[in-house]
Amino acid sequence: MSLDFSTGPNDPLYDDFGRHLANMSFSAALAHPTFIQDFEAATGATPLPRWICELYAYITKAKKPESRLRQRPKSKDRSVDAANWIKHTNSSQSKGGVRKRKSEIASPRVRKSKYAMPRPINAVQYQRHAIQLMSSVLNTRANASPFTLVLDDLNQRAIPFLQQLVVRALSRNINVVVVSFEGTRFHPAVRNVSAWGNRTAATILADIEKALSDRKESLVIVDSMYDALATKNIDTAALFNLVVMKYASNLVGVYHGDVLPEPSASGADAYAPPPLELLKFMATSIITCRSLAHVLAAKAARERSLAEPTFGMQTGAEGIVQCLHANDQRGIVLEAEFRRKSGRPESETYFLRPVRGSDFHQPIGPQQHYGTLKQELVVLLEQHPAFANKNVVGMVAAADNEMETSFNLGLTDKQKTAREGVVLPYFDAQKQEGGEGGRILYDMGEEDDFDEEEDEI
Amino acid sequence: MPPTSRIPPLLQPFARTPKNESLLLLTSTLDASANWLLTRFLCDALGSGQKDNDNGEAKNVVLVSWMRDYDFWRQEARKGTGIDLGGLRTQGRFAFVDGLSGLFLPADEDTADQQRAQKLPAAQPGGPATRGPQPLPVRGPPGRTAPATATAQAAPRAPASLPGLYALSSISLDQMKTTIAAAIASLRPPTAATRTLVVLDNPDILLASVPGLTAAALTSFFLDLHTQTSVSHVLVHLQSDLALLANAEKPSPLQIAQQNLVVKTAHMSAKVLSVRVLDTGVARDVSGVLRVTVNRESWADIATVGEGGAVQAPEEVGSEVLYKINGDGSVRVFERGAELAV
Repeated sequence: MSLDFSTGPNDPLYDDFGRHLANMSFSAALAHPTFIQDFEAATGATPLPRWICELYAYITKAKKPESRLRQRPKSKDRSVDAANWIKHTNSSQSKGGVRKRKSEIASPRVRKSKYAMPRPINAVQYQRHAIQLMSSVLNTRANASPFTLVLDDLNQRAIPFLQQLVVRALSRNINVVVVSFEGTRFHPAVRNVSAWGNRTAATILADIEKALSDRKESLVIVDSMYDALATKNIDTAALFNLVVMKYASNLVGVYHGDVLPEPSASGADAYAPPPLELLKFMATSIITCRSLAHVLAAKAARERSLAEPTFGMQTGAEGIVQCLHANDQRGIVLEAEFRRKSGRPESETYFLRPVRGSDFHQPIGPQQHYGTLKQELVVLLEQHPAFANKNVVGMVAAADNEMETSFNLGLTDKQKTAREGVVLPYFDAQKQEGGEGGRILYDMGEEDDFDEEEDEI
Repeated sequence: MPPTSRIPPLLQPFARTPKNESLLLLTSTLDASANWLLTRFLCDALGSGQKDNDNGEAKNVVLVSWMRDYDFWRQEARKGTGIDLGGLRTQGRFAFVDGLSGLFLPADEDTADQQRAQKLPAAQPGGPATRGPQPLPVRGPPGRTAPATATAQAAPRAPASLPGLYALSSISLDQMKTTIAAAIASLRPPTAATRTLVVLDNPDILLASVPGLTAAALTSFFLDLHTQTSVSHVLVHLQSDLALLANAEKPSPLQIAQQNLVVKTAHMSAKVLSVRVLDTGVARDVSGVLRVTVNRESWADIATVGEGGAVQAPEEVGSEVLYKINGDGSVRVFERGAELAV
């Protein structure tokens, strides 16, 4: 489209300003990209008149929101480099002083009517809420759970769960400190405080403090709380004060449920509560690890009203240490109990699949081992297909369906077809005229004599 | 015949130390002894130098035995797997630490007179020299224990005539550690890649014989050995008989200690091998069941994530096989339900 501005050969444009202005739509004309060129070519005015510049600026400015709206879909993925999520400067060298916990993400402001009754949440809302609870523990959120107690045994060790904790903490650039009673070889990305051998409680605590001191936020994992409490006599309160209060970090303690408390030789602890009770009392979250195969087997047994099976050492069979289905490769089942700040406990059972490299974004900086997690992996156990699906459970149940007798109660195919071929007595009577009008079918026997007179009556 | 061919192919993935440096646990019961499996581990570690597998690097081995003496293991290894421990000992690839003769056997009559005066002071620094309650019966000819006791008072140094033979003389864990560390250090200076496998045979006897020893102290002892330079794997052999474990109503302290030792070591181990008899009773053609369970994740690769969909190697998933030990010491390993060809 080219615009013709010269209405008459003698008239300069700005003389007839008002007349032409009334006839043309300037907003449409100015929006046209070639308007300025056409205007210059038509009038020959090289410095453009001032009014047209102002008008042009006004109209294009007014158009801006519209163009921004059009670009909206290209917004980038916020989870890749969320500013609050990754601790970009997780070093306390810059700032000393008192550490304080502060909530990282402001809670969304929910405007509620004063008189509205709280409604019961529906299933989807409940799922979202439960997953969010677990997700905040897994992601080492600042205020989610200062002291998480992880109970495991040989049937399902806590390592897959701890691996997720460590990897997610590293993806957020959180310092990971492992207080080890059971390990010697460690990944270079985690800081290791060896606690076995003849180290005393004081030196262990000093080592932990050293490992924590130059970072703002850390995750401290103790790989055997029983050893920490019973063997090394580390005061739980001292440990808790150091990690949670002083350094505003999170503490995760693993307790092996199959390690029995050893009575002390002196008998001094005869009246003291066992270490596990003490820890359960203090914990803000308690997570029990179970193998998926065992959970499925227990569910199958429950549905058949059988006693729940036992596994590994609990079976009491001589020489068996670990169950063959222990540490299921498909993932880990976590029975979690969260103690909220309000005092309200919430319990749920989750399924956590093993983490893969493709679950993470590309790392942003060179000091980062992983990018942030793309999507939350943890699901409720009811959402897991192997648990929810009735057919699968039926198959599990069928495996131990066989009755324990010395007889063979099954049928071969030949026997089955033979059984189906048997014609039941009076079967054809039902097919033919039976039931028509309530008529009685009666076959005369030898001893019956037919009496016509009776029928006539 | 290369020694590895003495290991049945089905057994090979189980009798091999895993790639990652780790602890391994082997449990056995009274009826099903695991000595045959220990010798297979020795054979695989010592003889697998030219194998085609990826961790086929031959290892040096230190065997510490609290239950059997050197002659037993030498014969057992020769009979079962055809490896010559004596020759490997002189080559500096194998060392044996005797935890039986010096600790639990009475000194021999001919050497007792000159030994006793020297032995007692040597045993004192490790605490009160309370020996095992009743000494085990002497096995083998009497002349055999003489070199072992002779090395005992000179603790960490093996005599030139008997390289690679050490003996524990004290029940103190620190002294044991020093002796075993000396044995590890005495092995042929390893090339860059040569690592050492330490095999501990029945250290759980110390729980019963040493007063005041806890399971935690023993597991620390295992970890301490694992942190010695050049040690890559520690294989611990423990007993898992029901009578020793705490499954009674009121378990005794010793049962609790044994249970905790087995459980804690299993928690620390990358692989748990347990040998037991058949659950259904004695069979003529089956000696027992070998169950292997693998703990894949460990602290060493805590921050590495896998790329899903990887095919699990057969030795990386738990499995169970049956075995039959023949009279000549050879072993036949087969799947459950497989036909046993005679």
